[in-house]
Order: sequence, then C-alpha cells, then structure tokens
Amino acid sequence: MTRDSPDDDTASDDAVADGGERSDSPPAPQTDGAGHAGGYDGTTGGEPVHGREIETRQKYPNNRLFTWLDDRLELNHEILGKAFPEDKYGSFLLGEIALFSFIFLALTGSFLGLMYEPVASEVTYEGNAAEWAGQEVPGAFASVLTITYDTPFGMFLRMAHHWAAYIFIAAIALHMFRVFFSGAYRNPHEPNWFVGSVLLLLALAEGFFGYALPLDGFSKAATTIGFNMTGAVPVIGEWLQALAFGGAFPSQVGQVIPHMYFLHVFLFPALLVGIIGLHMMILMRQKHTEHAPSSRGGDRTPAADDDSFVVGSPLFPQQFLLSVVVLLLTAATISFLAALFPVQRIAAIGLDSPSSPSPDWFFMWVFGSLKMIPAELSLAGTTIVLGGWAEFIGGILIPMVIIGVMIVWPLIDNTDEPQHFTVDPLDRPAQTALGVGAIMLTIVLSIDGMRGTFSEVIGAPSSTLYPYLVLMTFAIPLLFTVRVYVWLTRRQRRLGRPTGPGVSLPYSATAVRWLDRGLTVLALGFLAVGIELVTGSATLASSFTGLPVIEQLFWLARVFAGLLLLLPVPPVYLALALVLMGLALGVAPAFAKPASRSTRL
Amino acid sequence: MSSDTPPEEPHEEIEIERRQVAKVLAAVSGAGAVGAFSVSALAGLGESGKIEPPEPLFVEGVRLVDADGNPLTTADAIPQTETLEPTTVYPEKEGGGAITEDRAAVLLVRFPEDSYQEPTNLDGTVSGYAAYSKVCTHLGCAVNGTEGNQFYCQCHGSQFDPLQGAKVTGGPAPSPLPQLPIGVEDGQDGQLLLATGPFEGPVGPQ
Repeated sequence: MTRDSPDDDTASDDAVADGGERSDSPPAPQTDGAGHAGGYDGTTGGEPVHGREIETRQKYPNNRLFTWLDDRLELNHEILGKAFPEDKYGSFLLGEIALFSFIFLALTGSFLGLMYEPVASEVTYEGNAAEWAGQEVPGAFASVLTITYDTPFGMFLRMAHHWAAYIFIAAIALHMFRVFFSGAYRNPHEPNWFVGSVLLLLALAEGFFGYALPLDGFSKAATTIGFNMTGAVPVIGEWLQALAFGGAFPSQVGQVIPHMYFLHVFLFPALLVGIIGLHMMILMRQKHTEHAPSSRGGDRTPAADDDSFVVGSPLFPQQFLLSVVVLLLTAATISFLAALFPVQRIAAIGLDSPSSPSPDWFFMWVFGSLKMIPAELSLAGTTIVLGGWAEFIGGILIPMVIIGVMIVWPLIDNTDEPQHFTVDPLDRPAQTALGVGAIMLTIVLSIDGMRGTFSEVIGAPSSTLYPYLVLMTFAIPLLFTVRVYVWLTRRQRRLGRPTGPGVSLPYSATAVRWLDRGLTVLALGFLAVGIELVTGSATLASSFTGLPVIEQLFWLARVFAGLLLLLPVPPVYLALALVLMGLALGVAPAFAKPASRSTRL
Repeated sequence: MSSDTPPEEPHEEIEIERRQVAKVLAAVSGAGAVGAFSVSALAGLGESGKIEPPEPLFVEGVRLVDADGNPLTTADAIPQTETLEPTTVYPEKEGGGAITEDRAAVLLVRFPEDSYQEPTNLDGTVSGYAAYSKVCTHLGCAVNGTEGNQFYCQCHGSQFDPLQGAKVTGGPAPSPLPQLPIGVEDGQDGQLLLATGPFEGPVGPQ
C-alpha cells in the first residue's frame, strides 16, 4: 500500500517554499490526497487532474481577495483543497451536524452561563412565573426561572440549548453508527475511533452535569442517582464522588453546585474543544475513508486497487457551501424544536421529586440496566445475594462493558492491511449483525428504563412486567443478531461472495421460518406498545396543555405527518423552508409575554 | 548509526549509554513532574470534596409535621384502613414549620396494630402507625409509589414491605428502609406524633 506518505508532502512543500516561487509543474503526480474537485478543474477545463497540479491561485484568478490572502498565507490544497468524499446518502455529514450543534451549545450556553447563579442557598423568587412568585427557592432554581420566564428570548435560548444537546449526542451516535457499519474504523483509522469515543463520553458527562444545574425535582433525582452510582465503585468510590461532585449530593448541595457548574461550563467544554480539534487534525492527516472504487464515476475512476489519493469535493468552495447549508439546517432544526417542543419546563416540574423520575433519553439505557439487576437473584433453586453489588453491576459494570467493547472494537476487528475504502454493510454479516444487536440492546434497555411509564400506560403493575422485560432484554438483541447474520450470510453465499469471519450456523429453512414468525410477533408487540405509548404521551401532554386527549393526539399526528411530508422535498428547498420556519417559529414565542406563557405551563 | 560507517565500538557504546541515561532521566523527571501535579491536585480535590456525614435531623422529641408544618395527631394523620396509604411527613423545625430536606422525608403508614411482624421494631410503632425513611437505600431516590401493600420506588423498582420493617421484597435495593421510632405526646387537639429517637439505620444508600 503506497498511500500518500507524510514525508512526500513535507518534502514537496519545502521544495516550493525554498524555490521562492510557485512551480506549476507538479512535483509528483498523485502525491496529494486532497484536492480533485468534482468536475471542477480550474481554468484549464481540460483533462481531470489530481493533487497539487492546480495551484489554488490558478483556480480563482479573478478573486483578488483570495489571491491576496493566498500570497501571504499560502491557502493551498492542504487545507482548502481537502477532499471530502462524495456520499450519496448524506451520512458523511453527521459528524458535521455534531460539530455545528456543539457550536450552538457553546453560543446558547454562554448566554445561559452569564445569567445562571450556581448557588443552592434559598432566595426569594420575584418574577413572572406565577407558581413561584414570592417563594423561597434555591438560588440556582430561581435564576433558571428568571432566565426562562423573565428574560427576553430566555426561554427560547434555554430550550435551544437543551435541544442542541440532544442533537449533539444523537448526531455523535449516528455518526458512530455510520463509521461502524461502513467499516471506517479499521486500520489506519483506529486512533480517530478512540478519540471519537472519548468525545462521546465527554458529551455524555456534559449532558449529565448540565441536567443537574437547574436543581429542579428531575435534576435532583438524576444527580442523586449519579452520585450514589459513583459511590458504588469498589474501593475508590468515595474518592471518585469527591472528585466528580466535590461533596455529598444532596446533603452538601451548596458546594456541589459550583463544582458541577465549573465542570459543565469550563473544564469539559475546554476538553471537548481540544479533542474535537484533535479529531479533525487526524481526519485531515489521514483523509476520509472513501466509497469503494466501484462507486467512483466516469473518467475519474482510477484502477480499483489504487488508493494513493482520495477523490472528492474540495473544502473550498464546494464542501464549504454544503457545510453552510448543513449549519443552517442544524440551526433551523434546533430553533424549530426549541420553539415548538419545550423541554424541562421548570415551573411545572418544581422542586419536589417527580413521581416517576427519569434521566435524559441518552442515559435511559443505563437507567434500565440499573432496574434490571435485582439485589437477590434466584436461579434454579439457588439464591445469589448481590446486595450492594447490584448497583455496581447494573450502573457501572454493564455500561462499562458495553462502552468498553465499543471503544476497543477496532482492536478486536482489525486488519493488517490499511483499508481506505468503506464497505457495504451487507458484505460484512458478522459485524453488521453485531452492530444491529448492540443497537437493539440499547433500545430494550431503554424500554426497561421506562418501565414505570409502561406499566402506567398498559395498566399492569410494574412487578408483573418485570419477568417479561428480562426475557425481552435477552431475547430481542440475540434474535436480531442471529436473524441479520443468517440473512446476510445467505445473501453472500447466493452472490458467491466471502461471508467473512463468524460461525457457520446450523440453521435449516424451518428454523429460519420459525425465527421470522417469532420476530413478527415481537414486531406486532412493539407496534401495540408503540401505539399505547403514543396515546400515553398524548395523555401526558394534554395534562400540560389542557387540551382533550383526542385533540392532543391529532395535534401530534399532524406534526409527524407534516415532518413526513417534508421527506421527498429536495434538501436545498427543505433547508430554506426550515430556516424560514425556524426563524419565524423561533422568534415568535419570544415576543409573547413571559407571564402569559408561564401560566400555561 | 548508518550501516556503511565502519564500526567504532567505544564511540557507539558511549552514544547508546548516553541516550539510555537521557531517556531514563527524561522519564523520571517527566513522571515526577506529572506525578507531583496530579497527585497534589487529586489529593487536594479528594480532601476538599470530602463527604461528611450530615447531622441527624430526628432526635428524641422532634414532632412529625406535614409539609406545611402542621403537627399530626394519631386521630387524623391517616384514616384507619387495611391498605397502604403512606403520607410523607417531616421533622418540625425549631420554632415551627417543617424541614423539607430530602433526607428528612419520612413515610408514615397506618395499619391495624396487630398486623406488624418481625423485623419491625414494635416499640417504635404507636397506635398502628409506623414510620420509615423515604430515601431509597438503592440510589437515594424518593420512594413515592406503592404497589399493593408494598412501598415501590419508581426509580429502579425496589419494593419494601411496611409490615415487615420495610424489608426489601423485590428490586435492586440492598437493605431495608430504616425505621423511625415514633411515640405520642398530649397536645391541644389530641395525641401528637413525635420521634422517640433517630433513624434505626443509615438513611439512603451506603
């Protein structure tokens, strides 16, 4: 494998610099991984060329600002010409969405951070929120009330911060799915998988401490759980609690709140910025993984085994414009959600511990894992008393094992040869099946976490549901893994392709048919539960809005139908529509009087 | 050392030795620098964030009051029933009012007097009333649900039996909810409920 070696790059750079003038003759063909524009080949209009053959200067001869800057800063192919591979599914943009939502988090967070007061001592809230006016509440809670109900644009920006956090974490997760299923984590891209995993963990930590800051009922419950979970770590538990929280929660809340505030607004964001920079530096250095050569079209197709350069759109101007659209679309989506779907309505939540506490959705699987491990385990007549170990196993060990396997996965599924092209997930039965199984596991664990809502909606006591949920937690991920594996290995054999690593399952056609029947029943069950959950959430929503349940249901259906209608619209118009809609909807509620809104909540 | 230079044994040895010594020195000083800062920082943080056991909120003679600070009497705190209808009560603040801290919350239950069984501390019950901490021993959530005649923690599904000293009957909690021994004193409106001592075990997860 002779890919563009770093030494070549440096050497040719030096040569140009030493010569004192730019040479139009290429140092060596195809040395640069960057740079071939999709059909854009500068002023020559001739044969497609690769690498540094086109000087940036030559590309934009009429742009005087650009040439002026280029003369001084050498805005050459290294950065502006960085090739972004073409991707027919848009899945390569998920990382960008994560990056842009981080920017919105920083911006909205700065607004909130300037007004939030990290104090736990009681103050009298004097403001618009009718439920709390004139009452003694913790300072942090009062300042969030003030931000939300008494500050122009405050509610909108707080909701935008919350939604940006959701989109940040969701985009990171989807980005990781893309990298996993397309095999983009393999040699030589393992370092960036590790760096990215650290980013995910930091994002989750940000989410946890951010949730804690308003000091309302939900945040206190979630933080108490997190605090006691940390204490469940053997030997160093108490020291870890002191390190992470700076005191006991909730009894020493006065010193814990400033501690968490510092972590949330300074330490973790600073680490995030640094590590995002590292993530992107590694990406620039290694180039993207690219769709396999078969997907390269037309005269740009090199020999199939030639991976010495990457084909794609250069950062400037093509990818830049696309990224701007993605940035605006992210902004529009965040403002749309923030304007229409208020989350964490603090005046309604209040200070009392909620009747069914729940963490943010991205911790729901940990919450479910905690619920699943009983203190006493009876199996075949023997009883194992787990006692205090139950919370360690459920809250620390199981999540650590899942996350740990995820982090070291590139070392488990490694190749000796560098792989520069993505793979079709359908061509990798074992990995794809495992990935699907892992996703199903997080989903069923999250459902376990929502057992309370479940039993409320279905009307069965929670302890009756427990055995079924345990069964489901084991059965569903396993069944899905096996089914996907069977399907893909069969497909590979039919097409005469290698099936890759993995066991050859002794399945028969009858077995597969029964498996399918089982999965159909499960799917129907999911559907039924899904309908129940939708009606349940409509009931819940109607308790906030005061609308009749059936009307609330129609309202929800309208929103979802509206979103579905948007699907076939070309992305550019969609972006435009969402930007306009986001602006209109995002700005509109801020003009409403805070007091009149607070009474609705 | 490139291979085409003639071997110069002594020179090479010195060179390698020097390099090794430099490496060791760099490693030691690097580890020392990193260690000095991280050990002092971590030790300092660990010490300053030290978790201190809070003062007990219930001592002998502290009255039980509702969230608004009204004292509770044996006659009307909870109607006499066979089913579980817990009420959340708090210790009375000095000079009136309630201490509504999370760790102070108490679940007050009432059953027929003879229905309590071991390991309930029967001396800590009065006229069919028993009191238990509301803080779940699993991860510190407020136990604010019931299922049948059991306390049910909505967080992670731990169950406690109020008739058997709030012992764990299901879910992940490792130990029973500590019982608060209660008694009565005569007041204007009847017999007022009060604590006859602190909780019989540690409150919350340990």
